[in-house]
Parts: sequence; C-alpha cells; structure tokens
Amino acid sequence: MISLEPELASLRDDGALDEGSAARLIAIERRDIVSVYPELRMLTWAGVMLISWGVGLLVSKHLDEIGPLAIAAGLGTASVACYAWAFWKRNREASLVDDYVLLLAALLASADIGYIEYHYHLLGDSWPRHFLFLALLHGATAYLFQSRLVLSLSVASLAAWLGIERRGVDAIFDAPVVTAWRSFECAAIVIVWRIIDRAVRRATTFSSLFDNAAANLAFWGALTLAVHEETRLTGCAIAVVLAVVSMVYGWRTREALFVIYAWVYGTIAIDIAVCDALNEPIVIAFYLLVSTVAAIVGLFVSNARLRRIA
Amino acid sequence: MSWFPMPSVAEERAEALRGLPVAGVNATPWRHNGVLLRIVFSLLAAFAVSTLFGFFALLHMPKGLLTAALAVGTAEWLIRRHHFFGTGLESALWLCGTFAFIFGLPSSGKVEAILVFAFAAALSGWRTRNAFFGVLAAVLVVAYVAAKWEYGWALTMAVAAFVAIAAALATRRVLQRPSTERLLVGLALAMPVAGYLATIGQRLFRSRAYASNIPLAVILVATAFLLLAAGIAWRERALLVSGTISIALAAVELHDLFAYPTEAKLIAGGIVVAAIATALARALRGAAGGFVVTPLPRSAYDEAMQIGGIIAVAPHGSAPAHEHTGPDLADSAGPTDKSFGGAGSGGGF
Repeated sequence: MISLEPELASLRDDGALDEGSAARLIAIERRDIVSVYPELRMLTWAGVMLISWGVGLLVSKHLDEIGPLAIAAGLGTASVACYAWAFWKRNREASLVDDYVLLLAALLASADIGYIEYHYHLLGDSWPRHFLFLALLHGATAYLFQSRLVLSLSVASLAAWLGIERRGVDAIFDAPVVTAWRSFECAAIVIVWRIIDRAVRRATTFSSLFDNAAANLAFWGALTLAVHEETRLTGCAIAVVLAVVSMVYGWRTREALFVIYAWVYGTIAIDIAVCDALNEPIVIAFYLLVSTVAAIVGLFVSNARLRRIA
Repeated sequence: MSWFPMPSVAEERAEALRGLPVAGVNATPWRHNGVLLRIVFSLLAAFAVSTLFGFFALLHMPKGLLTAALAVGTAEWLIRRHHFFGTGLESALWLCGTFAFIFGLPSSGKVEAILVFAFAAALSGWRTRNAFFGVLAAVLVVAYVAAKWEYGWALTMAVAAFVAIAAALATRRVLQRPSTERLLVGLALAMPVAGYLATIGQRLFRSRAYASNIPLAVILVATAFLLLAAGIAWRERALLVSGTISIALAAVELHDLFAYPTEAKLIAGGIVVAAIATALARALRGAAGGFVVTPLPRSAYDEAMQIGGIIAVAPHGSAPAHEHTGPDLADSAGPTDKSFGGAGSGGGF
C-alpha cells in the first residue's frame, strides 16, 4: 500500500494544510477511515440492471403462460410501488438506494407501457407515440426528483420516438438522409430543451447531459451522411461546421470534452472526404498518417491552452 | 543521468498528492493527462502506428522494424525532450511500436508468440510505468496458459487466481511509487476476470458450449474468500471489489446447478445484490471509523458509465407486432418484428 502521510504531515507542519484537513486526510491514508460508498452504489446499480434485464426476459419468454393482464398489472404495480417509495423518501434522509429505486421504477414503467402498447395496440398506427409519452413521463420524473439517470432515459425515449434509438448499421447505410435528419431534429430538440431548462432553473445540473447528448446526436447524424456516397460531401461539411461550433463551445465553457469532440469528429469527417478523393492506397495511408499526427498535435496544443486559461 | 528518464519517486508522490484536496504542492516537470484524454491519445497513437505499419507494408519496406524504430523513437523523444509521462501518447507509441515489431516478424504459428507479446507489453509497461500494460502482460500470460494447455481449465484459473492473490498480498507492503500500487491493484482486479474468460474461451473452442465446472467454481470461491478477507483486514477497497467480482463469476459458473430459468436467476440475483448493498449501507450508517459510507462526489466517468449501462441494458424500441401505417419507418424493423418497448422498456422475442 502507499501512504502519503509523511508529505501530508510536512504540509501541515509548514502551515500549508490546516490541522482538521490534515487529520482527516492522514486518517484516510492510514485506512482509519475507508468510505465504501462508491462500491455500494455500483452494487445497487448492478442489482437494478439485473432486475431490469430479468424482467425484460421474463415478459418476452412467458408472454403466453402468464397472460397479458397479469404481466401489465404486475409490472405496473411494481413500478408504482417503486415510484411511491421514491416519493415517500423524497423529503426524508437520503440513502444509497434512493436513486436506483427511482431508476428501477422508470425502467419498469417503460417495460409496462411498452408491453401494453405492444399487446393492446392502444395507439394503433401511432404506436411510436408511446415513446413520446415515456419521454414526457421520465422527463417529469427527472425534474421532480432531480435525477440525471432518469433524464438519460427521457432523452433516449425521445430518440426512440424520432426513430433513431439503437438503429442498426443497416439504417445508416440504407436510409442515411432520413436517419441523419432525425438525429439533427433530436439534437435540436435537446438543445431547445437545454436552453429552456437553463432559463427556468438557474441552478440546473442537467445541462452537461443535454450538451453531450446533443453534440453526439448531431455528429452521428453528420457522419451518417458522410459514409453514404451521394451525401458524403454534405455530411463532411456539416461535421466540420459542427466541429468548429463544438470547439468554440469548448473554449467558452472550458469543457475539454467538446474540444475532443471537435478534433476527433472533425478529423474523421475530413479524412472521409479526402480519402474519397484519393485513389492510391499508398497516398491514402500517408495522408491518414499525416492527418492523425496533425489531430494529435492539435488536440494536445488545444488542451494545453485550455488548461492554462482554465 | 538515468538511461531511462522517468518521474522520480518524489515526483510520482507529489503528483499523487496533487490529486488530493491539498494546496501548496508544486507541479512536477512531467506532463500528464486525465483518464479520458489518455484514452483518446492512446487510440489516436495506435491508429497512427497502424497506418505507418500499413504505409511501410505498401512500400515493401521492413515494416515491423521501421515502425517500431519510429514509434519507440518518437516516444523516447517525447519523454526525454518534452517530459511526457502519463499523457497516453508516449505509452501507446511504446506499446504499439513493440507490437508492430513483433507483427513484422515472420509468423511461426506457435502459441509461444503470445509470450512475446506479453514481454512487449511488460517492457512497455515498465518503461512508461503504465499499470494497464503490466496487467495486459499478465492477461497475455494467462491467455498463453489457456492456449497451450487447452484442456487445463483449472490450471488456467489457478494461474490467474495465483497472480491475483500474490498481487493482493503485495499491496500489503509499504510501497513508494503510486504506479506500483496501481499495477498491483490492477492485477488483483483483472486476473479473476481474465482467468475466467480464458476458461470460457477454452471450453467454447473445444465444444462450442460449456457446462458448470465445480473445480473452477471452487477456485473462484477460494480466491474470493482470500481477497475479501484481505480486503476487510487491510481495508483495501480494490480487494473487496475483486472478491465480489470473483463471487459473481463463481455464481455464473454454477449456473447449471440451479434449474431455474435465466430470467428468474437474473431477477433473484439483482434482488440479492441490491439487498446486500442496502444491508451493508444500513449497517455502516453512522460509523465514524473503519469502513464508512460517507458520500463521495460522483465523478463524471462514474455517471457516464452508469448512463451507458442504462441505455445498453434497456431493450431497444422497434415496430410492434401489429400492422402499422404510422410514421415513416421504412428503415426500421418490419411490422412482424416481435419486439416492443424502448428506452428501458420491453424486449425482443
């Protein structure tokens, strides 16, 4: 084991560290205090994921044996119970499992509503609207409980409603324009949502999730166009514009992640366009080498400058 | 001056100290990055080295030797001239350079080639003090054992368990360099998983299916017991995590012994796991010393991993079984697709 106790004691003696902080940090170094909070949180999360996975399998494999009403009622009851528990705990002492009981409630609600729509066809031809309902339900829940985990489900439901959630590679190659536009639409909705959220709630903690979701949706939309021959240049041009926007945003907010997005996605887009124009494999290999080195140097310099001013 | 310049013990410890909420610690001359940037630079460097290898191959030049010389030379130049250490770039150049050299050699098809890669990973890990490469070297040794003795499932698992336990015991020594501790912790965490996956590979390669193997489960349980005991006695979180993973792997290995459907096992397992976490949290609530449940700030990586897991576990949404003429879904699954739900809902069947 490693112990930084001598260094901490030295800093305390020099007056660089106050007594209380030094005592607390030294206790941690000596293993007098060891917080297992992150490990227990991950364990709870893993439990919820296993339950959710099992419920999905249970419903799909035993549809005929259990009966639709029993499945719908069972899932609904379990979901409502979890929501009720989370609501009851809302104004009480926070515990480790609170976030994950709420997450389980949301996952069970998704399963239940998806199943009801599948079996009873309540929305008929407008079946994808159940995703919109889920997006609204999870969105409202996320705001009520200030849960970014549930908010991620809401954004994923929104993407599913627009028809871009977990599309296969086939969709990217067979219908690139449709898929790309849906990605752009979804990114735009998320940006508008983020702006409203920021305007209404100054102390919001959701902005980073919105930012990352919007950036990735938009970049993937552009790259979907770029991999298709007829829309290649348009896709590459959009990706480069998005990279510039991402770079500017990263600099303004001091968020290194957006600078990384800009260099990585931007380089991929330019590489696709240039390699398409080149014919000789040797020239392509040499170009890719040069462009990758340029991206590494560029990212390194950008990040170093960002660190200096941050 | 050292032949292989690298951060001194004092410099490594100073960098570790800067990771704590402590002011007044001077920065060292060495440049390093956070986890995400290290991953990005490693991937970019790996791509650059692969392209260089391909470029020399197209020119019919000695691709392995030239690529290795350029990659390792650049890495050494970055370390010596620009004090890169822990940026992701110099370590990836070292690893990919040495791997490129091996790929450039004529292939003999012998399984011992895995040991050559393990040596390259160990050498790169030693030079750049990269714990991940050290763990990779150990994983490759386990892979070699699995490939060499293809029926020796228990042997493969025993080797991996031995490395994990040895690493766990070694963490008890007072170490000077944080990078050494990272290597030992990494070995203790990764070896049970690597060993178990290697045995699955062995069994699938032989019969394309695998049944529960009691000796394997016994090794895993024994490893878990030792790791958990050491983790509790020495208050070492990584050993607790490794012990828990070993128990989970043993439970997976014993899947045939419980004649329940998979979904029942998943739900029961999830309930048990969540209940254990809740019970431990309640038991430790109010504790002021030893193991405590003091909330720690949630890191961005932690949350990103959880969100990624939620979206990955959540079954996808696609057209339901009934006929539809709604929104344009020409590029979606067909109307007879037997699935439902989305963003956490449903499943395919």
